[in-house]
Amino acid sequence: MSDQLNIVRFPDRKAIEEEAARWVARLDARGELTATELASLKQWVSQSSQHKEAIDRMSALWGGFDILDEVNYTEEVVSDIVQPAWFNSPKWWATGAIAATLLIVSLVGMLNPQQVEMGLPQAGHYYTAIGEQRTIALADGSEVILNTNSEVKFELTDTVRNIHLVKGEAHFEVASDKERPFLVHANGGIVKAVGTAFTVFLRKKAVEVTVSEGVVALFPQSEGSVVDEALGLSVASLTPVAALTAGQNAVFSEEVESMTRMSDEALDRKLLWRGGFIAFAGEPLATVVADVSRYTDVVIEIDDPALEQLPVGGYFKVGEVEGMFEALEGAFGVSVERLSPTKVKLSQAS
Amino acid sequence: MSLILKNFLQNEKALKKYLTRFFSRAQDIDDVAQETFLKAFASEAKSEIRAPKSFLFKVAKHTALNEIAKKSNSTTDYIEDSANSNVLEDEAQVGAEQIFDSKQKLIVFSKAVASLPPNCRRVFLLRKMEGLKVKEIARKLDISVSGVEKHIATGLVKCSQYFREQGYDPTEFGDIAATRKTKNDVTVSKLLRVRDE
Repeated sequence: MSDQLNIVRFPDRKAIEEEAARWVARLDARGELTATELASLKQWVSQSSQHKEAIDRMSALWGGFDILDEVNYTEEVVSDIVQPAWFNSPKWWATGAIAATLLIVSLVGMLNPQQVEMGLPQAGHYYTAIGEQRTIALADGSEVILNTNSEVKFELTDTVRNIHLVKGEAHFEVASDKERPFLVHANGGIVKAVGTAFTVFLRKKAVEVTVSEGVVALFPQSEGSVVDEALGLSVASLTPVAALTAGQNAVFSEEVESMTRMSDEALDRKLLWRGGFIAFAGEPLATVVADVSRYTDVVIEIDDPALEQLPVGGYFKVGEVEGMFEALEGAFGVSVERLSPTKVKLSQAS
Repeated sequence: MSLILKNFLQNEKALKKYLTRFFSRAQDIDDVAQETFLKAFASEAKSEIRAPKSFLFKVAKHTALNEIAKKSNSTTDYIEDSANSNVLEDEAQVGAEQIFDSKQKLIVFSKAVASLPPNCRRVFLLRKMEGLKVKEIARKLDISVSGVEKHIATGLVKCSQYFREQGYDPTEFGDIAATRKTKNDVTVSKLLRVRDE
């Protein structure tokens, strides 16, 4: 008996909501209610505060969906893929239609993250040509992204993961495995990680390390070469010269030459090459040219010491030097002179 | 559930991991992932997506690069006129916050619609995105007006449930979104209020 009373007084919330939704739907479909319908709606609402709340809730919710109108103004991404800033220049389109087609084709090729899931080698030796980049998935679940003109060898054993960066630059996304340290050997030095993400760039003598996630330890060159022969097993007995955390960048050889903390934006720009792009935010032209040159056979000369200091901002698809030249000519007033197909001179436009 | 939402939920982790190639801040990665869903959903609402998973990664990359281009432009602008940019920056901040707020709402509502069964979803999109009247929807889908009503009612109950599951108060969320844009539609609560006065 009391159960029955309860059911009358406190009906199922879901049932009330369903009835409320029906009222809202009916009104939306008809635009108006007849006098009889309105009377019966009022009668329904007056049953309890729950009924009133439910009708308010459903009505507000249905009104809230008006926001879907904005889907009409949301950018659609169907066949167009990537349009870097300099893509929009009409001049570029006029001269670069074929290049654009090639660019899109090559981007489509790059856009397949699943391709790295196959293979999963325990050991290997990989190269990239100038302007080329590739992603290598290792058997332990780690991932190596090899930048332009680079070379890497690796071997995974039960006790250690040894990676040799022979040339160039690589980014490592290390799968966590406390039992097997992940050792990147570079110019005799060692960068040690357990589970983290970092980039190693071989300079002429030193090694540059940028950490985007977690912590890595740096071991200097002299001791590193000893460990190398022992397949990294004795790395525990060594003293690191430094430990780097996310957002830090260091250059080291026998000892640490420099260590800096980067802003999030600077870090993002620094690691942008992994997506096939390089970005600058006001760096001197000389730095920009040096960086861009890593990705191309074209030799770029700057004619004028003052021009070397010109701050440049923007972002470029790696290997697409033509795009950069267009931008320099258009937006920065630099004169671009083609001495030969593989040699370009930049000078101050007169 | 729509294919895009299904694939988004299944691959959200991988998608975010992929986005670490472009961003280091968790907030940036999260924002771009949500933006990716929205763009992909918008595309799905208007045309058929054949390979939803790879499409999502494609959209993620596109969105990431656009976002970086935007950021790197604003850094350059900042360098150029840092002398008098303080006030401007503050104003931009407020604007960005508001835009983000309404975008977040749009994403939440889009996800709610995407979670509906196909016929329900189609009715919601035709009514709210394309702005068709219920009669026109009935004709277009070759069902009765009360059939359309049924889809609306079912969808509302499911969405209300969806909001609750996601930790939102459906009333509050709906109300805010409804007041920011006053349409001429008659609503039940309006009707009741008017007749009561």
